[in-house]
Amino acid sequence: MNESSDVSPLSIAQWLSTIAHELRAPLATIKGAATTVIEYPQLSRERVVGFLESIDAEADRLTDMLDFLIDLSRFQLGALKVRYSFNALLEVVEDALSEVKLRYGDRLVTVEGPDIRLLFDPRHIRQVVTCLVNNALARSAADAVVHVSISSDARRAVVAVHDTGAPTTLDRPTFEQLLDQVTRLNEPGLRSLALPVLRLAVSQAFVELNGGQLWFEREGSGNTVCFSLPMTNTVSLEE
Amino acid sequence: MAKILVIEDSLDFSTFLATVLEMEGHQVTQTTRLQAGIELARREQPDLVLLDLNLPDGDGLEFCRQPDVRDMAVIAMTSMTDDSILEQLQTTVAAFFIKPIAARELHQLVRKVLDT
Repeated sequence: MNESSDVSPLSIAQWLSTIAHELRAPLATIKGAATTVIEYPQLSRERVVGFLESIDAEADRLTDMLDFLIDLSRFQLGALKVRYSFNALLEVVEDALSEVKLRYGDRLVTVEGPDIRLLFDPRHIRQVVTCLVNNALARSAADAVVHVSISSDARRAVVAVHDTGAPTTLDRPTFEQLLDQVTRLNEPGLRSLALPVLRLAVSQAFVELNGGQLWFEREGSGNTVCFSLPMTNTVSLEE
Repeated sequence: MAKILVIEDSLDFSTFLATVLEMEGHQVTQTTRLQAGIELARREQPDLVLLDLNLPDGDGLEFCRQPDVRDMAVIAMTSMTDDSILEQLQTTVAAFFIKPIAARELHQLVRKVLDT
């Protein structure tokens, strides 16, 4: 999967166009906030601090997006390394959620699950949870709750992210299918899906690198995106 | 003073737009969704709409196809630079800009559209 593949010049051009569009969003906020502070010196200190915080947050977002691109290119070249360590899965999920909350403020995200430790790359899995929860929040109404649950059996731990947004038609997308989908999102109205699909592609790549799988479940209303991690080499927190 | 409706899903960018417009003396209403924007436009009859093209619940240009709001003055906001999209905007809306935009450029563009 992560070997170099034949990519047409058209696909590369569409990819670059989509990515350039996505990079403009944080830049728009940074430019707007900075020039507002310069243009209106009479703004209250509170509002100035608010704009500076926006600049700071969007600069971080820009950095994240660039990291995404670097990771995706490394994945495609087969050069992305997994740095395994024992981690408490719930702790990594909560860490990711605190990052998401910085962006979405008062949006409600709940999490539940047992404390289990297993081997995975925490940077990858934090990124996966951040991607999936960001997608879930973007799909759902502003007052909807996004729920993250962790479960496990003898073979694997499963993290499920449930939202109440419009049901997706995806089932068990492959990395290649997701990348292909990004290149088809150049129409107005569809381009807002580009970042969610990119996030899914990154999530799919990271989960697979950590020995797991990613899939959708469509029971009931909304969407549930799940990913698994193998339970091999697990230890209990109580030990 | 004009009544201006901002339809933009990025809260930070929307805050920037609203701040500049309020500092220039306008009355601003904000929403992050297309459908809510169409309903607000019907109800509040703004003098100007600032419309993002990529909204979570649809293509922003759908706003311009609604029979009862399509004659409102609209400034479209986009990150897209494709010729086909920019050509479409030239015939559909009063004005448009490609993000990012500086505060001064924004209020000059708004003033220009309101004056015409």
